[in-house]
Amino acid sequence: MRKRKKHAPLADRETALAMIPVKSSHIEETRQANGEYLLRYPAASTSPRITVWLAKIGRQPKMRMKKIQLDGLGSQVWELIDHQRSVRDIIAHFASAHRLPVREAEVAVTQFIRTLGQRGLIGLK
Amino acid sequence: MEIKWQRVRGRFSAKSHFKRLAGIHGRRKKIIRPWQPPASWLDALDGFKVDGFQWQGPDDAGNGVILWCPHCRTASLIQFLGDGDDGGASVQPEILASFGDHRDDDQVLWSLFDIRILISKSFEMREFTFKPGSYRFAFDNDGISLILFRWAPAAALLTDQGLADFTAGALKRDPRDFHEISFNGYPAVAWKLCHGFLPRWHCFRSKPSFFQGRVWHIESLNRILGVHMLAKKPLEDSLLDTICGSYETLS
Repeated sequence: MRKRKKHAPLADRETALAMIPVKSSHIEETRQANGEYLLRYPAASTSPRITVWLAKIGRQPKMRMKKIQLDGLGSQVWELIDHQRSVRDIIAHFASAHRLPVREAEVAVTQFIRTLGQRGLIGLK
Repeated sequence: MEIKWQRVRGRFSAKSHFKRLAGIHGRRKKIIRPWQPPASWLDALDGFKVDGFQWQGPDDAGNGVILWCPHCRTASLIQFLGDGDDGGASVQPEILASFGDHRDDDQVLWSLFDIRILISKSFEMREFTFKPGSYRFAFDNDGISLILFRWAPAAALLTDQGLADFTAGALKRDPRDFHEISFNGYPAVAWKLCHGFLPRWHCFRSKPSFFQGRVWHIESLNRILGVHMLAKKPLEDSLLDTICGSYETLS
């Protein structure tokens, strides 16, 4: 069995919490009547492996618009991403808004931000 | 001050615990030796078998005791950091006297994050899950399975559904199985179900046939608590009442 490479974390916890999430400029966001957000974002229509191979031969993969529907809590976090608040501020705001223990809010919010980051919807500065 | 404890299976030997401690300290370049605790310590720790030790490191020192409680079969280690020269005189005996490793009423107080529950010590924890917004703890006792739930934030979870629909979704059951009640002034749903058509044969089934539980919404804390019990034999209402009565969430 092939061993999966272990990647060292790019930043420690404190540094990561101090970072400010920034939305990608390629996203089309639609606020629906129920307050939830529908996000459309461009993504390669080929698999990641083929995308890498195409990049190696200097070709661009075909792009298509993907959709992601945020639920109520996800939409609230999305609204809190205003290019000014740090991850820690968003967690504190989320925890106080829902009367959650900060540690629990931290796990939920950081997991959500990580998912958004993996899809290329946000970056951290 | 540092306290550690461990449930001991089989025979307890203070000597083997001391040897293990000596090994750990040895690796950290610390010297450890047996030590006779003062009489005030021994008086304060009445009811425990007490073995003292003292250690000296390059930068720090301290003394402590290994305690053995034959009643609950728990070995505890209490140690105080300091220069170790005063022979433990600086330690207030009241601190040691306040130490206890079991309750006298055969109950165990479980305190996990923001939830607390007092249940019989015969319930042993089988599994637990901590997911953001959803905690689940399962205990087993003599054919009865007890599952505790805690969900948050309740306002978001109950946005477009009632408590019965939410509970049905969480427990993967039909909403018609639940009836609405009020529990301690909180809106709640309860259920008491029996599966199968031959009551006397329930004990021969491999799966539990009797289900009973309650889920209630604490609006002031924005949380939902739930208790679900499963058994092969009929469950007593008083057991559910006792468990629900002692299950609470802290702000």
